[in-house]
Amino acid sequence: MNRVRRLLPLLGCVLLGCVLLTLYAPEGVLRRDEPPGPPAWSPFDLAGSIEDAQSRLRRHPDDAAVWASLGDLYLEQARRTADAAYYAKAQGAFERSLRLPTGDGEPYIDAVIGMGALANGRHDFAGAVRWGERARKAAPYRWPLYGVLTDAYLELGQYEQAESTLRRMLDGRPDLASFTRAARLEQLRGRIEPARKLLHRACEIAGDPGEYAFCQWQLGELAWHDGDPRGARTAYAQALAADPEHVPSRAGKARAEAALGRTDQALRDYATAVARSPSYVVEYGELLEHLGDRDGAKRQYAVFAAHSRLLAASGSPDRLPMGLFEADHGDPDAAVRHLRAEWQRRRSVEVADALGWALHRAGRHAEAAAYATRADQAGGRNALFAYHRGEIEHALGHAAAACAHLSRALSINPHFSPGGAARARALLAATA
Amino acid sequence: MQLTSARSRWAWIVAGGTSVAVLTATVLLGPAMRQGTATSHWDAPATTVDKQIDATDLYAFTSPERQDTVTIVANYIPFQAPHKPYQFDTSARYEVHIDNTGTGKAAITYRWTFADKGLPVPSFIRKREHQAGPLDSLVEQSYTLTRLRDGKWETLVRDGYVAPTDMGGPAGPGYPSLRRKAVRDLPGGGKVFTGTAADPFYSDNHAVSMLRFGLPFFPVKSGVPMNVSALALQIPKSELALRGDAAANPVIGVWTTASRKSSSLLGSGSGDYKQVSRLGNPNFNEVIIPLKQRDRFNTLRPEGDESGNLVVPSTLDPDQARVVARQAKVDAPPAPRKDLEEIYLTGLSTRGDGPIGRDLNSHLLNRDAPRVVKAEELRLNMSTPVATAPDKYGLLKGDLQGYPNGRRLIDDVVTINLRMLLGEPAGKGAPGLIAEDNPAFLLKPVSGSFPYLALPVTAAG
Repeated sequence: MNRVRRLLPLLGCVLLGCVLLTLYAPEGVLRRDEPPGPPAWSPFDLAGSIEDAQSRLRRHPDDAAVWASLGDLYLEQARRTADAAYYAKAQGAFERSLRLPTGDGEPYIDAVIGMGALANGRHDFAGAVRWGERARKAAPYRWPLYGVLTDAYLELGQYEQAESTLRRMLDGRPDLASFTRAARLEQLRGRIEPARKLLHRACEIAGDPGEYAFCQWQLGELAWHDGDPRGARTAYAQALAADPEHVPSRAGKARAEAALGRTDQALRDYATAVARSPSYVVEYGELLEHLGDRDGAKRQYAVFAAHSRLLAASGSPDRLPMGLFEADHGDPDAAVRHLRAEWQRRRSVEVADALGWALHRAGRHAEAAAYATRADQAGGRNALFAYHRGEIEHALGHAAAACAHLSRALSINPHFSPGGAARARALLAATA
Repeated sequence: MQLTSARSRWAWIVAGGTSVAVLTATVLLGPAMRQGTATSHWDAPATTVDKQIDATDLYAFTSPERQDTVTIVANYIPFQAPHKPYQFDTSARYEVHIDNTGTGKAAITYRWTFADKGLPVPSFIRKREHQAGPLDSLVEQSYTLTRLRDGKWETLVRDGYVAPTDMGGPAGPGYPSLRRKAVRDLPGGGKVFTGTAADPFYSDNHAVSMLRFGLPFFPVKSGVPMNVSALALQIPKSELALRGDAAANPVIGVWTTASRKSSSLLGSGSGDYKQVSRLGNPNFNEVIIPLKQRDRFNTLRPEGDESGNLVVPSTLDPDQARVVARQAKVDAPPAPRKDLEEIYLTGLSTRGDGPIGRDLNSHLLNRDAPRVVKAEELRLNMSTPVATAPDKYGLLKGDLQGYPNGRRLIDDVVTINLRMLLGEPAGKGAPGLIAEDNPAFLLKPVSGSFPYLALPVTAAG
């Protein structure tokens, strides 16, 4: 009997797994309101291409180029499915390619660039810079390497290097890869209109549904951060119409629906998003918590904690998500530890903001203020950064500064977070 | 209802403890029970499809039924699925250049630019195409064709009719009339066609896998008929020839480029048009130019080929010749490959220092050519008589009107390039490498009059 009781949770898991499979399966209950998928026939068929590359490699196992292409296809599969198992496959393919002889006797260049893209995918941004710079030295005209470098420099907070790399990219090869990254830098500098124009141009030249979904998702993010949930929802819906599997857009749509008061739709979208990728469980939990479903929120947070352990166990170096989570929903001192470590690794505005916020939650407001100020000043028009800064000023007893930052946060995006926006309003009301 | 019950079950399970939570995560995170990626950060694709500026094939040949004209076809936007409309980039310039002096400079440039007729909606997010109604409602873009000659721009076509793809359905049978409408007369006796057509490219699979060994893999289905967007011109030889004299100066070099408007960044930087694509001889960039320099080649102009340190050395000693020879278990001729230089960079002539020993398509054959440089162009001798029985292996089978003397729609250029890479026609080469009776042929027959291209492929064929 005891043994049965111990096994009960396990049994429950399996049962629940079955239930969820039923709910989220392609013809399942939760997908009924989604637009139909893309047409079955497309010349750019990722799974089909992977099979083609594999069958070619069975015949010609010493073709370094096809191994590198296979690695790229796996990376794309990882992007689209949010399934990290493809990273290991990509790595295997790239490493195989790097070992094979090439026409010029040097490592096959696209495998070098691929290793950089893989490092970015795994959030090993310093590693991505090493691979990217190695590629730049060997082949300064191979444009994809500049995308790898720009992404890594932006995540590392090395904005000047990111900018000069991006200028080289725009100069040599204006295309979707350079326009979308240029938009990101414009946005980081608070230049919303140039960012929007660049993303519109990227949308016009998108070559397949996945690329189009990515560009529309970026337009959605831009509108969202600019306080326009309606515009954001439209863009996310466009992205999902092109690629119903685009999880970031599903989560973005959920966020926008919640801001527009369509709570049920928001919950459905979040449920769909977290079933495909655990990256959005925390914000889903925060919405549930805001709606009074504390148990539901706790369940999401538990999933996050479990997933983080899995990621850490698999060697992921990125401690930003865990730090943010601990600061808001766990142990602020642990958050400070995580984020100090991350700050040693990279000094982006996102890490500065998170570290400032964690320090504040741990009661070290004065130290917090320096980081929050840095993030807020260099991070473009970011409502969350402004809110964090306002909270810290409030804790320091600087009422006027607190009011200014909190009002600014709400004016940038009144929906920046369900709990945070409510708290900002309450603080403003109390000081008024 | 089901959702609610599932959630209450979930609560009960998570209460079971951490180990269960881990298990729950692995079970619940998705149908595949996988570990997720951390996608919270920026995650843009590093390589992009970028089909719109991708020139796939360039053809230039004496028009068989109007032999005082030359037909030039530049195909862009490859791999178009049937019944799917594709658009040109409205922020790009598509150009066909003619060098009649041999200096590598364009004496004449034809430029297409495109405008959307309505809001552009990519075909891959359209729910259903409108198939009823007038055929003209399928037309989504218009074009302007201009000509640069002697430093002056002249508009040849305004508000041009871009032939859309054949959507099949009830409108299908009327499609040929639409094709006729898209063929337009140009001032001076030429014609232009712009729009969708069946991709005339074909090749021998064995030759492709030999020639492309060690080159990046195309992530597209092969062997499936698909459509392209064609820019086609039929121009009187007198308009193309140096001093307007096609008898004295019969050789022209042709190439096509696409340039796209860039963008400023943070309020500075030029945002000029940048050349992002260049195509003359088929396969030249992917086979002769080393992979690491291919994107650079796309930004270059032929006039700089001789003095630049890329095109000439790559042609004289192409890495790919060794790779292919190793795979084919044959010997490629040793470097320097003066034969390849003659084929791709100067054209064939006994007056130069090339080893092929035949007067065919070098600018040296132009009486008034001032100074001839090495430049990668598709060279056509407009005075070569039209072959009565064209051979798909062109020059290699003694058909002087075929590739590499220009390029016809029926030429099997992949096999020809493979065999030339292995030494023909200057030396013995490896002519038997590709069986000549292989069933490689055009997927859809070309027609007998301009633009010769077959009507777009539909689901029905």
